[in-house]
Amino acid sequence: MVEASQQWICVRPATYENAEESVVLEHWLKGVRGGGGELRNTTFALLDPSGKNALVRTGRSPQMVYGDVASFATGLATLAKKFEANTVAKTLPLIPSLRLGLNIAACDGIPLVAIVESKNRSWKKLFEHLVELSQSAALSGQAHYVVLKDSKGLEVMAGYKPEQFIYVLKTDVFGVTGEVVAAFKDTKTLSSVALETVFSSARIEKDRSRQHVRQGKLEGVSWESGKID
Amino acid sequence: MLITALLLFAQNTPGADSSPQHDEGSTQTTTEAAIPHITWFTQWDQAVKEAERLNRPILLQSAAPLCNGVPGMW
Repeated sequence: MVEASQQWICVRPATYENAEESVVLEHWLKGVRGGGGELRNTTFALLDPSGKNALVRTGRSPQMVYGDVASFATGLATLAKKFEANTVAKTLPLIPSLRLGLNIAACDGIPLVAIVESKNRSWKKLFEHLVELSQSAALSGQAHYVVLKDSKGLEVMAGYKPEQFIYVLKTDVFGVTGEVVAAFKDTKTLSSVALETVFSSARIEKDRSRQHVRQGKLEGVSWESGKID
Repeated sequence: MLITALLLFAQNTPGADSSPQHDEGSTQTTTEAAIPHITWFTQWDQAVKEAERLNRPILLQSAAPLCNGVPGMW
């Protein structure tokens, strides 16, 4: 599946978090069984590069449209062949806020990389280096990324070190906070090997059972959808 | 079960329940080892811009990052 997906731009908007994106999701649920054109927890669509035309019927999930993994993988490969992809470097996918980033990283059990913007000359070089590394086979999809205007949200976290540009965060299981596992400020220390090691220590165990919800309720953890940070 | 199936479909892609529920009896705990993951864009606008730039089709799968109001779970 991961291999088949590499010819696609995969986008997973967080439902209920953005009003403009909700309109897009509702659009693709029109005529879908269990959708009715209203916003639902999940929406699934395969679209052309403009994002305006569906390539197959839309639904709530790949399972609803394709039924099984093999058919889905074959469908992805076949449809992707219709498009002659440009072979230029990809952009770093970014999550719009630290709050949402921690939550999404926790959902996936992978680290969140927080990049603090700076006008320092070395920042741009470091950022470009990170983008390049993030697309290597070893690191692709192994972390989420957020760009922050300042380090305020990070300063309260355990392990925080000032005056760094890139912070690798390990979230708590609910994704409401995190700890800094490593930080980088120059290209000398930021390498593929270093990131692989750090990402490994910043993954979290995921309890995918109802116990997660029970524990969250016990601890009074809740999520306010659509909150602007 | 649906969640498990979709994990196979697309690593960490959530299920299609209108109200996400998870198997009451399940005690499935996983550590996300360095297994291949899909690289997900999370913002629609950024994804469309990238798809047009690269002329690649778009795989859209939205999901709510909470379960019964508790975050940290698709």
